[in-house]
Amino acid sequence: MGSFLIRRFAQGVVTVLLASILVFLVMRLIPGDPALLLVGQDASAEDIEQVRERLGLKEPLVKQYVDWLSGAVRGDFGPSFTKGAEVGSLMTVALVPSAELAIAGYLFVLVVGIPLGIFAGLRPGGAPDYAATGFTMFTLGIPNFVLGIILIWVLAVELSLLPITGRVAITEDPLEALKFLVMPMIAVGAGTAAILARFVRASIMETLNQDYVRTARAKGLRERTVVLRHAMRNALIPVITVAALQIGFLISGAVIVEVVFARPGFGSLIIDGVIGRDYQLIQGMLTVLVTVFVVVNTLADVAYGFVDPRIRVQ
Amino acid sequence: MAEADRTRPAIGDEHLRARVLRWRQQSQWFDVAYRVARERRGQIAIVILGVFLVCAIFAGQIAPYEYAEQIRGARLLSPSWTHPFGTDEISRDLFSRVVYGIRISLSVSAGAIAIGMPIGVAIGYAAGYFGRWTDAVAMRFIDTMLAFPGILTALVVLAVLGTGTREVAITLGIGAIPVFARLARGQMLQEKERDYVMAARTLGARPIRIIMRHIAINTLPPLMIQAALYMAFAVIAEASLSFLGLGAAPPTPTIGLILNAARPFLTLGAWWFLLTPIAALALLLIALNFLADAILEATSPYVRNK
Repeated sequence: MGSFLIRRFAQGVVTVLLASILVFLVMRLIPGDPALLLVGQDASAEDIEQVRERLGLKEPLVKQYVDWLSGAVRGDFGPSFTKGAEVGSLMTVALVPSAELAIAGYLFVLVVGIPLGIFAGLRPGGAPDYAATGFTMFTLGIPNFVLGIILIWVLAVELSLLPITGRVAITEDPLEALKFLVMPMIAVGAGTAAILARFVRASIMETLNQDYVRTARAKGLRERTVVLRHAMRNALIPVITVAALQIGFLISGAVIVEVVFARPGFGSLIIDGVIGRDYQLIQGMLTVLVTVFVVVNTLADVAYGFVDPRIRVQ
Repeated sequence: MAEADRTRPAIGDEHLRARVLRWRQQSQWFDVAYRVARERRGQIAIVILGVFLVCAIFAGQIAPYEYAEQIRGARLLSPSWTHPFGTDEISRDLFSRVVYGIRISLSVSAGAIAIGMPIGVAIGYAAGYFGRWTDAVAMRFIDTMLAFPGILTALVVLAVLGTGTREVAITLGIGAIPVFARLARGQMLQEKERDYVMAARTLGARPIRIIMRHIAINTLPPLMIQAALYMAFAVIAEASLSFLGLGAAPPTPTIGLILNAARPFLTLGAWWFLLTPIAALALLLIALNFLADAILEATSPYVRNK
């Protein structure tokens, strides 16, 4: 287990490093002078020169990257070129609402996806199975941000049940905050929940065909015991990987859903960065997002290794 | 299948059926197309995609108005015979706009496939066939690119290229490279151990010939399925990006831009304004997913011949 952990951890670090190098290099391809972006068009030549010096833009690329990385590791991502603030502090402010939405959305995925998949898988062709199929079809045709718009239309505009857009901090007024969170949470999670449900369904159906399930039935165990004690535990192991992989897509989907619901967070920040070609900002944010994604995947692999010893050997 | 054929006797059918059978035996493409056309989901996909394709190609002939044409006194009209899908907030015909919007959705997603698939497949084949350091380098590259989930790759590339329809197509094409590379590599690893590859190698065929003439044809079905699924992703991504203002600029009619324009008018009860782009998008996405399903059914030896 020790060497498996180390190997998997090293792989994760390498992927993050390579990804940060890739982002760094690609961002240098952006046309235009970042120093000019920072000081504005009217600045004198000396001012621009000075800013260039300060940003380290005259250094060789390798040194620029190493400087940036050593700063990033300590949480210093340099100044944003368009926002007049440090990238690190911009991200800290945006982190809370985004994490709130991601966690709520992921809870929705687990709470809806796994039970739906289990019930669909236990009785293929039954009512839950049809519900799962219908749900999947719906999410295939309606992408997350469109679902967000539909929810606003039905729940907020037509039925006036929920506030249309915006956000209240959960520390201020928890109940009010939840009201603002319901629709974005569903919009972010629905597609992922359908994918997870389909996967759980397949896994349950496959497990129920295994010899040990037949043995359990043959020795006269009650169906409930067979399902809960024998089949379920094995069926849900592969779900760990899929459930974890989906977190990345959930986060990338949240970017646009946040914009639909006018919630502050990573979404609007990163899009401002892309429109303003603020490479310092994009570079910092993408590196953080990729790190989150890779850490989650690594943890999922490790967890998988814990529950299924065969994985560790490979 | 033979059973179903026999239940429909008609004069002259015998000859046609024999010819179809010969075509199916001669061309794998024709055989897959034939099988897809016999699946229920394949039929639905073919009909919807066929209609949309005609819309995309003949948009200029089908649309009754220009997409940017403002019709006097026709602001926010609900659907009628003159404007089957209604009109928008600045008096433009929504049917015409959606027809042009479909053209953009299809050409951007097809463009993305045309850019990303050949490059990705070439990288994947090379990595899988040659192994060793080629594989190591290619896999590092693929893993790194796949570390940017979903639409994030697009955001990085758009920051460099700037916004616009063509830029979005290129961006999504670049995003397709690791997806196809990983799949093609896996297929190649499976196929290259087969006896027929060994036989070709024994006969002295060079790697490029073995890959192109022998292996490629056997790895096609999964790649075709992936192409249909990636097209669906690209349609969503294009709509998302133009919705966010990172794609085409107004007055270009993309599904995403129409959706974005419709949002403020919900409170005014302009349901058709929102329903039109949503319906077009949903039909297109369902059709692409059905197509992928039908190709799987038509080509997987486990599922077919049942």
